[in-house]
Amino acid sequence: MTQTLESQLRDALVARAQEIPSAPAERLQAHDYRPRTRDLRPPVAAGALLTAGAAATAVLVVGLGPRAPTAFAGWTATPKAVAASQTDGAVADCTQRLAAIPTSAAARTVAGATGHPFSLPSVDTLTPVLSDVRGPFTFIVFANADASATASCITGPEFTSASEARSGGPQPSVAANGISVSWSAHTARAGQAYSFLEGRAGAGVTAVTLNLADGSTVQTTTDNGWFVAWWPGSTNASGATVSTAQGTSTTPLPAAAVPGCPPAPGGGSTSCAAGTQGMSAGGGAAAGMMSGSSAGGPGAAAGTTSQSSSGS
Amino acid sequence: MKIRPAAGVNRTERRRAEFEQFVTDSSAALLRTAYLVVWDLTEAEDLVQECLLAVARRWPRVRGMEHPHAYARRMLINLALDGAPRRSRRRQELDADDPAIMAHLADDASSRALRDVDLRSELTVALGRLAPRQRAVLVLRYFEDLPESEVARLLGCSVGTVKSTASRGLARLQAAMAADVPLTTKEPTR
Repeated sequence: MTQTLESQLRDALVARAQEIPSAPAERLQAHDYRPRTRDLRPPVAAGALLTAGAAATAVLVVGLGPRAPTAFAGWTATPKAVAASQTDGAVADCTQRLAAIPTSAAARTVAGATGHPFSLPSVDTLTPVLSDVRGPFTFIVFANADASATASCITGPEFTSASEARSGGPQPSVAANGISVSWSAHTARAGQAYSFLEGRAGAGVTAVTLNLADGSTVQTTTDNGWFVAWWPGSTNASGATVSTAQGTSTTPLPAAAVPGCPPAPGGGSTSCAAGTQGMSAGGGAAAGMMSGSSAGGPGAAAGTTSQSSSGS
Repeated sequence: MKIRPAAGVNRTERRRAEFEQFVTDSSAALLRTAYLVVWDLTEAEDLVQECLLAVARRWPRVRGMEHPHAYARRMLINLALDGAPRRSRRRQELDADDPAIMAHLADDASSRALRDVDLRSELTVALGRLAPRQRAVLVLRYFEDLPESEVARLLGCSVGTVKSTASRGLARLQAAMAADVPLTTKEPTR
């Protein structure tokens, strides 16, 4: 009986696998997965903040490669301050894109690891909380009242994206001088890698600058209790410099602990760095998947953000 | 299979070529595995993409392994299983000028059609309703044909756990096949 079932199971799995259309595999093969690497990056003085122009040049040179040299042209490491009214069009565009994401009721339903499906947030329940403008690109962040659901869009001349996410429940409050990473990932669009990180900032936080693993920095847009930044390429944000009225401090981000990744080859203690995700225990980084969150930043228990590799 | 370097090009270009070949060789198989584990095509595509991004970041070390594909598969499974409990996410990127979106929408139509097909197969429906970890064990054992010891190593658990998880999964499938009622997960009653 069991043998028959096992045979049927094999057949069912093979049949299911054979039903996969060819387009997803073709898209996966078309992506440019190359990360920025030190040996390609122009030399930058240690500790120096990149100017917006220099950063953009560096990213364009090293982050995208010859296949897509201009998709992120004009991106800047420092966001541009704009009035809210200047992003109204981007907000409206994002709203439309988010509303278009579910093409069927089933598409809105996601099965979690428990096997119990739950629905993605409806755009009707979300409000825009932050606009980040870098050159011709506008990143809009939407969230619901308890920050358990977010959505975001990037709109640019040759590049758009829209995404939604929902966590398991209301997110914990953020310390006044701390930050909480709610969602961070590396992903790719039309073969071009890019990364983003968004989270909440305490009431006392005036600025958050991300320190990327390659030594470069990306200044976030910080406002309305949220912060966000994105950058071409798939370099991790290894830390954040958080500014408050009391000064600045640096908080490590859990780039070295990715729950979805096996231990480093050779038995090293670090795991792969596909993405950086939530900062709470058991969170970590699995790009594009999920996140928990917890407070980091000045006065926060940074230890809660460090994790060991758990992928084995 | 260890990736062998090609001659006549510099190291960086050679590694890029090796990785691109790895993607060409592995992406379809990784997508199949991801699809069977998470049971959702879009989610599977996302997972494989993130997995390959991670492999790319570690490629100088991964390329020297005896089995880079096995490493990527292990990473993929862990991404699928570790990520889902805390937050699931559906991502779809839209660009009216990009023909890829049409392909994506076509995929979605295909997915819906596949769901209709699935409804005709109790076993497939039952598989889709297993917990991802339980399904992962069955996929690795009966689709990938990995020995229990390899499944245990990949999932970071004991062989006994693999056996018991597979046994429970099979039992649940058996029950579903035997039952002449709709397959639903019922809460225990007191």
